[in-house]
Amino acid sequence: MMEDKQNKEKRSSISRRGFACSAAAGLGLVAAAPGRKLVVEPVSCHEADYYDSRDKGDD
Amino acid sequence: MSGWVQCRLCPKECMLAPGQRGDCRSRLNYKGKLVTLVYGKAVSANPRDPVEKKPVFHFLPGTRCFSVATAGCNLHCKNCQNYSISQLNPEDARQVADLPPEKLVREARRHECKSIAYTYSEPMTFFEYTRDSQKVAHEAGLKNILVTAAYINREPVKELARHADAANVDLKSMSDKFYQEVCDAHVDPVLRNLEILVKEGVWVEVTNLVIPTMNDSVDMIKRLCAWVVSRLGPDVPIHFSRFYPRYKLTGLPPTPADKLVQARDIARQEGVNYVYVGNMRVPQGGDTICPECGKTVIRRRGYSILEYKIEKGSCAYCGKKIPGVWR
Repeated sequence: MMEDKQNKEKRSSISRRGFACSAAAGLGLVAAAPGRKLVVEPVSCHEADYYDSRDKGDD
Repeated sequence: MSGWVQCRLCPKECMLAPGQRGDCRSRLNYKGKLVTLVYGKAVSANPRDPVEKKPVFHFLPGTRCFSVATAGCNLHCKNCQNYSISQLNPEDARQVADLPPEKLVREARRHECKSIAYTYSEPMTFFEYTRDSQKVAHEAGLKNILVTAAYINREPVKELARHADAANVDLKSMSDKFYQEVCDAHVDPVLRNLEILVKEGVWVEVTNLVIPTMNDSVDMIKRLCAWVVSRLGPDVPIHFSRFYPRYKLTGLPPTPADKLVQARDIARQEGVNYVYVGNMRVPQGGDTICPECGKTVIRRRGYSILEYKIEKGSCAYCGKKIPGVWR
């Protein structure tokens, strides 16, 4: 129970740090699924360096 | 839940669900891959910037650089002078120029610039674009200047340092509380990165924006100067820059001239050999003084050079070597 609470707090602080994508227009972003705020289709992007793939729940 | 990524570029290390972007606004988790939305997408480009404007005073003085910036920044300084681009989502930019590295370098050469300055917003945030452009610039014989808050992780800063020739690093305060409250960042990574840049052979100059009541105490300025002298060396120039009310810090007055002159005096007492006052004209504020004979070796007015008395990297009067990269 305590662990669940800690995970929830951790997730909540993580989501505060990231920003949801706004509706896409102009440079590089086209909404893939209108109405779904988080899903965007970048038409102009470049793979970044310095990142790790993570599965939430494993950490 | 799968598909999350963790950005490792800057100390914020944002954890991003698919579709989320980082605190810098420009790095997005796209289907489990981290992508940058600003590669080669300039929101600001100036083909005729004097290097003195960056400011770098000991690096090819009197030459022009091609300045470029993209949208976004990993800091959110309440006093940001360029918030209209630094605090902007890339897709909200009204004007974006396609300026991939090769084209950027071509344009810089066409305008007879000696260098490219990655500036205005935050080159650490548009890391991949900066790095690739730096390489192409070097191949073409151009120099690279980073104008940065240096809030980035150790490995990427080392990677940028390999192809950087000069950097003006904004050291905003020695107080972590200031960095947290005003910039949404921490001071330690900045200090570490300053040391890395100097160690890697990049010509570094430090800017400190003096904000009334917030970072302008005698003690704070003393601490900053003492740190620069002891960790970077007495020959690293410091620019004390005048604050103007802007963005979210509009309730404070501009920095008074006497405060900037006082900061310059403190820096000299602490052993800094080259101290400048910027964003405001005060007597000899932009002049380079030989620390050996006390004569003025470069006299400036604003961004213009009125007198240049450096010969083969040394004072023309007494022969003392003046550190820097000279034309």
